[in-house]
Amino acid sequence: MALLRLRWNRSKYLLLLFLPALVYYVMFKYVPMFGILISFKDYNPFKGIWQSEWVGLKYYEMFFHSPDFPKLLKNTILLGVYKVVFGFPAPIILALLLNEVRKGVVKRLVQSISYLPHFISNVVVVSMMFLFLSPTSGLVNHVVEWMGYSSINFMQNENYFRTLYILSEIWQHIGWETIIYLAALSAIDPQLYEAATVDGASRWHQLRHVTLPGIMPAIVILFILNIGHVLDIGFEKVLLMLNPSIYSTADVLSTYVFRTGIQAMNYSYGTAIDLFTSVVNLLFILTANWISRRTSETSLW
Amino acid sequence: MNKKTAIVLSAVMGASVVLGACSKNNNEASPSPSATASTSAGASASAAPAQLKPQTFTFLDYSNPSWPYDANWKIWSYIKEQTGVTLDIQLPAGNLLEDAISLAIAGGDMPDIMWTQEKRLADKFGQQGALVNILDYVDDMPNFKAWMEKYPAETQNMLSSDGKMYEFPNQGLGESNRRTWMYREDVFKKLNLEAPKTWDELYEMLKKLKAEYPDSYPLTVRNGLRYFQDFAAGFGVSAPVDAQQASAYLDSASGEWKYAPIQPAYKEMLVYFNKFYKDGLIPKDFLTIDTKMWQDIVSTNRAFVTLDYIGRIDFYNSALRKDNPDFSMNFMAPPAGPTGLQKNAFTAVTEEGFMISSKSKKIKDIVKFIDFFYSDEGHKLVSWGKEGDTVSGGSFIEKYTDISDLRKKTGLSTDGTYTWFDFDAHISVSSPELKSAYEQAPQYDNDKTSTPPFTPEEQQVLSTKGDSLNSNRDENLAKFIMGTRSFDTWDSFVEEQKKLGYEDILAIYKKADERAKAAVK
Amino acid sequence: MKPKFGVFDALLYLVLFGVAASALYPFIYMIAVSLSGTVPVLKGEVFFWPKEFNLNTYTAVFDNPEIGRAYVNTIIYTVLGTAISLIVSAAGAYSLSKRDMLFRNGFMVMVVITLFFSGGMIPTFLVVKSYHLIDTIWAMVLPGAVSTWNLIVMRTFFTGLPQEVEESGKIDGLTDVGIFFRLVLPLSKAILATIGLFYGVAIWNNFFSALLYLRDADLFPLQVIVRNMVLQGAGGANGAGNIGGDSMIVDEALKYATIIVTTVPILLIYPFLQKYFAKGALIGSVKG
Repeated sequence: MALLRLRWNRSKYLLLLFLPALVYYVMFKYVPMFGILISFKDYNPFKGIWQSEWVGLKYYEMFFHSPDFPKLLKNTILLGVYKVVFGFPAPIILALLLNEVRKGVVKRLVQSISYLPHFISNVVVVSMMFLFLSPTSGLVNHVVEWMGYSSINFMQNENYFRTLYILSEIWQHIGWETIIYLAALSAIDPQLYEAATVDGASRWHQLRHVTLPGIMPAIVILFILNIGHVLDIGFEKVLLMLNPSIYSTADVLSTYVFRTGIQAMNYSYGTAIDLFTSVVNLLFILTANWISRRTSETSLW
Repeated sequence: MNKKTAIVLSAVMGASVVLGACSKNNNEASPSPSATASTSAGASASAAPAQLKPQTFTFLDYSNPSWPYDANWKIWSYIKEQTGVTLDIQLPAGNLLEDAISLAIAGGDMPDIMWTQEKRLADKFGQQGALVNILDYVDDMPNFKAWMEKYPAETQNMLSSDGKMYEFPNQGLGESNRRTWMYREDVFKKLNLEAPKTWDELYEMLKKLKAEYPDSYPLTVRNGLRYFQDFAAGFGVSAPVDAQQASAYLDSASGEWKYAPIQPAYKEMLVYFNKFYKDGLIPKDFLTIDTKMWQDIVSTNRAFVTLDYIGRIDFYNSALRKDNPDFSMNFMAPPAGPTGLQKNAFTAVTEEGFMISSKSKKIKDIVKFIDFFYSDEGHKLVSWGKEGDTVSGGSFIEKYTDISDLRKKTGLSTDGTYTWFDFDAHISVSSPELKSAYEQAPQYDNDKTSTPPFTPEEQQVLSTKGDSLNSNRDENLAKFIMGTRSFDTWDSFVEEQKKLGYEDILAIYKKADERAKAAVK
Repeated sequence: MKPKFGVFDALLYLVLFGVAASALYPFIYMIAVSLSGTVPVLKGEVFFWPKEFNLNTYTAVFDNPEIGRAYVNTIIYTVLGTAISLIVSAAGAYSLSKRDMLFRNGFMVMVVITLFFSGGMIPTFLVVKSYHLIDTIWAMVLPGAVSTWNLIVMRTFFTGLPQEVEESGKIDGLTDVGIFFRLVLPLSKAILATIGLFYGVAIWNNFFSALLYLRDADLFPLQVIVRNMVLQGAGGANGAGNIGGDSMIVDEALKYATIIVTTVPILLIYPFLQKYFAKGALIGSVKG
């Protein structure tokens, strides 16, 4: 009891600082969460969520028995894993490269330019992909033909979808995601570099022993957060790229929810699938956090 | 509306109140002043509401980005003059009408009247209790009652699976959704080619065009596989090819519901398209041609045959003749399939219409208001506007460059302004080519079957189980055309589709159709 | 000591040039198209420089009577929203970075859960409606005020702050609130700039909240107007409805012009924030 009072005294001002965030989370995140119930009900918007009929796990069973379930899960996991494997390191590498640039002007210029694509909406990005990758008039295929190969039907070939999706994701967000690492880099004590230089450390050594450890906490936290979103593939961009010839690799959970849950107005079914996705994501993040806690000092909690 | 007309109006309204006072709630007996102008005897009870009670209804409408809603459109003042009703119009943010309706229902603050573009929305929310069953109020709607007898098919198509009606039926404007084959008459003439009469001729001609213009894709359509519904008509297997819909069709010969993609005739059609693809007669990226790319290809003389909404004839001609006076996109009769069938899919319908909130406190007044749209005056007013103001002696006074111009200037035939429409109003604004196309097209109409209404449970099966079937269908149609799947494996494709349950889907169609027919008897 | 410009540097510059060029090109393309005449765009002749140069699309964008008000609205939402979000998130993140705070792990779990579970569109709408926020400025600012992702990232940075900061504050008799405002915030400019940028850009681009919570057209932000303009002539479900005269090609140029006009202001903010990312900015200020 006394211990509790001591801790309370020690943390009352911290709790005061946390209060606004707490109020926000309760009001805008937890109060609406009763909406999850609709995945166990036959939701009727007119009657409202409480009055709608209970159906138990009907929608979950429906989803697990769908003939497309294995395909959707496989496509989603593969795309998510590739996104983490290739998409996650990309901004780190760019940040480290920028860190090696000694001319401030070049550094700032490259930074400011590389984050531009983040501001182009998916609609425009995908329409440009169609334009530049077109097998008939696309710039890329002109190059391919010029090199003596026959033109490639990029957007209508199931084997190219994942590569194109990941590459375009990296292109869109690399500059933007670099910003956070640049902020982390700015927190490294310059004296550490000076000491290393005096010791005669090469640039490679400085990178390994000063720079990387300096931004490691940020890398670890962002990695854990990314792991927690493996199955979250934004539906908009995939949907824009989707066409019948690439269904076998491109159809993912979110596009399926969009078609069967939202467009066909099966809100309960869509919510059930979303909840399933969330649970899997949660398992991923719990595992990642557990491993991180055991192997490094950084963890979410 | 300026002050002067407002005064005149109120005077007219005052007069009609006096006239109507002696025969309260008896619209049939007392013809209103405006009704005397009506000459048609089509609807015996043709009469505008006798008392013009000034009232306001809230109305959730749609604003088409091509002719954005304008509160000053003449149509709104015409409607007010005739009915006394002011529509307090709400528009969905971002043009997402479906979301706006969902939120309004969930939030418990539905407007009195709502516009929908799709009947399934009306059925869904109606059966959940959010919408008025229109049939309960037929006695308050003498014009509508007469109209239903005149248009039994349109009426029947609006019924829900529970036999009720949650959306007001429409007639006339569906004609603008008609689709047809079109070809570049000028290019064909230059090469001494005639419009193809059969699919074999079509193939030969496309090859000749390709030889003459190697950079072209003589046959180009947009929106992926959607127009295969139209192509398939010549093969007698026309059915929707849409991610949201199963490819079921009512076979007129046997009177049975059938599943199109597994029919041998469907395979024959795919064989043609496989040849087209191999020979470069359709674009290599045909599955991803969107509206913009399609327009680019057509307007840069790289496509000579296409299939689309009939109004596109004017769209291309009026835009492209400025640069190339010879440019002529014209109506083409559908080429005959292997059995000699010369048909186009029947698409001249629209599902747009009014719905009434079941929570509204003014339902009786609203149904009387909407009844006006089914009167002869209403029919004429929403199609042509006001005599002496926009229309005179059966033709528009002002010269509109096209229908879009007409819509933008007057609001006539925009969303939320019509139910029963005189399509001659649109035809009168069309070019001679388009007029002639409208005359020729109906002779090639396929059977006018419409999708039967499904129960919510059936709808759920169609949208979940159906989705797997549809994805597999689309994926494989694409593969057969692109040659990545051999026609030797056709039988196993049929088997796959069977496993995914097309028979169950057909059974639902059959049951729904029988139920709908039984309800009418 | 100044190292020589070696092979490594050459490669480095080459890679960075590649990244910059590929990021810049689409913007050049969009600007070129937006400034070109319709015919060259239609024929696919515009790649780098505008052809048949004209400013019609920009005139059309600025002639839209709604765009001025929408601009003002968006700026208000962005400034107000960023300020609120930043303060609430920073305070929350700082308290969560202190291991000895009561209930810390519980709060942390509570926060993390919201990364995965949410009520969905309709329940959230109903709740916001019950707070009477519909059709107010607050509807654009409060429902998304704290991003859990940003909160967690900020917490990581506060965890890395040197212990001496807090200790020196305690010696001076400051409470945690005082330490946070007087010592921690001034030392955290880099992360505040970063997260502020994240919030600002998100609010600037926010279209969804307007869609859900705003009915009054006077409150619409830029993105709603942009969407309406971009959709114009782009076609809806009813294909026949698109008999739109010769507006059919202009829309591509107009679309790009609209994008340029509406994104340039927010793009210009970043270069001003860059000074906070200078190497050693943080430590320098601690020692100094």
